[in-house]
Amino acid sequence: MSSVSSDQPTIRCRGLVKRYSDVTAVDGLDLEVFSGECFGLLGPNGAGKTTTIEILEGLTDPDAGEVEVLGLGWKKSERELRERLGISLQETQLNEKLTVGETVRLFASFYAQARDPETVIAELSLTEKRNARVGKLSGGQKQRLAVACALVGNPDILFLDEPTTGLDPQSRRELWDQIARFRATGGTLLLTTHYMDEAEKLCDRIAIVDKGKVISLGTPRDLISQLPSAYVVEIDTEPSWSAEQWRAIPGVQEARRFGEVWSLAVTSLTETVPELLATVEREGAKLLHLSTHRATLEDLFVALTGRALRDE
Amino acid sequence: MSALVLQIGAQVGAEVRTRLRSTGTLVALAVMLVGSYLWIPNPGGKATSVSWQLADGRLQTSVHSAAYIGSAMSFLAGFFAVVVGFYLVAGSIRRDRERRVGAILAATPLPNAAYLLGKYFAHVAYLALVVSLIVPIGVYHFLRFGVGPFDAAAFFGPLVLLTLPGIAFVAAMAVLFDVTPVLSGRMGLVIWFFVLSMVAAALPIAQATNPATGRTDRLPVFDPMGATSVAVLIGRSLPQAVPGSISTGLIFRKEVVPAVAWGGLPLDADFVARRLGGILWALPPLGLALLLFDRFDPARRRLSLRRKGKKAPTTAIAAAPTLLDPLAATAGTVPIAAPSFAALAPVAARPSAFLAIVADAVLLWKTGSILRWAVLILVILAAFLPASAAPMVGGGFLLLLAPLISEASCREALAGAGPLVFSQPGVPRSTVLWKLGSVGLFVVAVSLPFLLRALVDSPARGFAALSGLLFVAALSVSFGVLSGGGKLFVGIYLALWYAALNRVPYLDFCGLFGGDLGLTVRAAYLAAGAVFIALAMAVEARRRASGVR
Repeated sequence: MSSVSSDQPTIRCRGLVKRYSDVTAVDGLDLEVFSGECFGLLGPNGAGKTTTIEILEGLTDPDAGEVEVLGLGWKKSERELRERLGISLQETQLNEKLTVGETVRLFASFYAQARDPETVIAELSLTEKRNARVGKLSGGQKQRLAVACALVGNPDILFLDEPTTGLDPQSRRELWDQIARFRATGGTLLLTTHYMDEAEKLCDRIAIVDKGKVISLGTPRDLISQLPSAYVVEIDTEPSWSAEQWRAIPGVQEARRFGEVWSLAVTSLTETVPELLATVEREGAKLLHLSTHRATLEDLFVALTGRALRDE
Repeated sequence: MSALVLQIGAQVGAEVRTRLRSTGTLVALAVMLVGSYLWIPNPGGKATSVSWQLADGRLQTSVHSAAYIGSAMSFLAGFFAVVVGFYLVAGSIRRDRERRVGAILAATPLPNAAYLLGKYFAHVAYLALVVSLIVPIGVYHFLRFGVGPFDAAAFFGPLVLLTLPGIAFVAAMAVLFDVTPVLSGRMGLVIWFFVLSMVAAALPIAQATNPATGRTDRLPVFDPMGATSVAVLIGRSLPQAVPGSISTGLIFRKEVVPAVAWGGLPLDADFVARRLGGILWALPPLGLALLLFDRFDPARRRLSLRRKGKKAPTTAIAAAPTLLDPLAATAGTVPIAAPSFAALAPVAARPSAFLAIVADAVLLWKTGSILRWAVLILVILAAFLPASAAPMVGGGFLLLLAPLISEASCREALAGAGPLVFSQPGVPRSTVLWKLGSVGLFVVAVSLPFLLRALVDSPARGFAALSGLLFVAALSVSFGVLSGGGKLFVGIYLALWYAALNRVPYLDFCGLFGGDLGLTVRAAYLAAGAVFIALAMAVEARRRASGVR
């Protein structure tokens, strides 16, 4: 695996624009990803993540903008770049009649410097399934196979588009381990996800994308620290209260309603929760639900857009 | 160079393995075996593979020599490779596109040429394998009925020389069709049969015809099927035959035809060179395919055209795949290209098998695009035109019916929407029976004017038309379930349609082409349909037991 200088971006794009009919999927997007970094594109469905990653992968031509990967452009160096990238797309249905071993060997044949397929199969914990047909694999195993196909070419950069969507928690964690192993070898990783826990766990830096634009960029910690409140209280009462009523309670910075439940941004749980409970009791309301958590990237997305990630 | 060979070899291996593991291949191999057995007639019967007329009016055929059996094998193999073979191999690039495997392959260093050549050589290998099944049948006939010594050159020579150029050409055309908008969809299956099989037959005859004498006595340069070349060679080998009286193929006569010694096809150097040179006809379609291939990004081709200052195909041509093929409509921009299943919504609201059948029949109509209107116009014309015009118009209607219903029973699987659709509470547990109901309903509904006209003509004609259409529905459903695609049905159905059009006895399945076959044969068609359905249900049950639907 060759390396690039860490002060030079491994992936750089400027002013990317992509339109489909009357929809602008990517709207002037800029990004820089550095060597050895795990970079996440976080956003709701339809935010433009997949289109962006497909442009960076050289699978889709942008309508405007520039893309540079490993210091090379797609038009002049497509063949060279293809040798150095590994890609796993959303919802690919690999040939169900081939076995795991046959599939990985087939992909290995496409690369000049391919890794030993059996080693990659073992790394992805698929050895027991190496003779099983793809059609007989579980969702998690199929996803691991897709990643195996992406890794068998010995890539410098790994692109993973929604790698864990639809997987059970155990399969997700297994895939996270594989990603961590790739990173440990010095590989650069760009992934898209709409799971904020995944982004927080895996990514060094994250770009939050909405409507084809980057609306916030930084490390997960930096991004969350942009929020005025460190905690979130989710509460539901009967009768339901208005935003003004909640905001009137000391310590409540912001109040947004999602369905029946109010999401309150607060600076201190120890001070605000007792105040909330006292106010509910004083007003004679019935408490139906109360939960708290530290502010997350999803809360940041809500603060930035007024919408929830998974409402899309 | 060696890397390219390795890449192509790996793809050929994967493709051939994939096909050999599909039920569709088993069906194709079975059809080939049975077809081969029936094709080579027993001696002393009324059927012949080669026959000719003498100046005194007597008909003759050949004894079962190695040359005769070898020639008979080559006639079938040449026809099978060009006409049916296409349906066995076309669509694999389309499948890669729809399942997004293509996008993954596009992201690898695999060159376009290696990808397309991999597909091409996989087609060649697969077709060669299927066609080679005729050999054991030929050997069996020779062992049982053979006359004279076993001459290997006379036995195998015609098969190899006639079939190889056909396979090479068809495999290349399948690749070209697969990368060409409009032709890559269901319409392409019809276009291939309707136009190219005519071209493959008509062009060689035009080349072979001597303008001075009007006789077909010159070896053609372009003859993928090999039929014209065979006619010319047989003519040369039978100077005693009346010109134009030589018949090849499975021909049924009214009386037993006397058999005499025949030396077989004269495989001279000129013929061998022309046939081997004929393999090169694969190069133009392969080259064109390489130019047209968009590496699974339709936008790439549009952008390329814009850069060259040409108008991007936003007109009817570009929109045609959307119009003609709901499965291919959005390929490239949506992960799994799927038709809208909105028509099934009432089933979820009020669970009922009947509603599910009606909803699926409605979906068949809605996804029928321009073809449905063509079918409707033809069926109405067939109902009101004079009886003399009915076979032509009705034949057109029966032809266009094939692509309309070919993928009905595997639509959900092809679109990756199986779990979504089959989890609806009203959808029957048996896909086969559900689809048989919906395809049967659809076929009967769109054919209603044609059926009523047949019924008015005579109850027997009405029954013939109805039983034939139900047989077609059963064939479509069972072959779709068995093979997981629509090509096998289209290929076999078109061969049946072609045979009916040519008035092959007992194959006029709808009684449209003058075949008055009686109730027993009509009942046999219904029974055959039931057997196919039972077979599909058995396979479905086996798949369900192993967790696949």
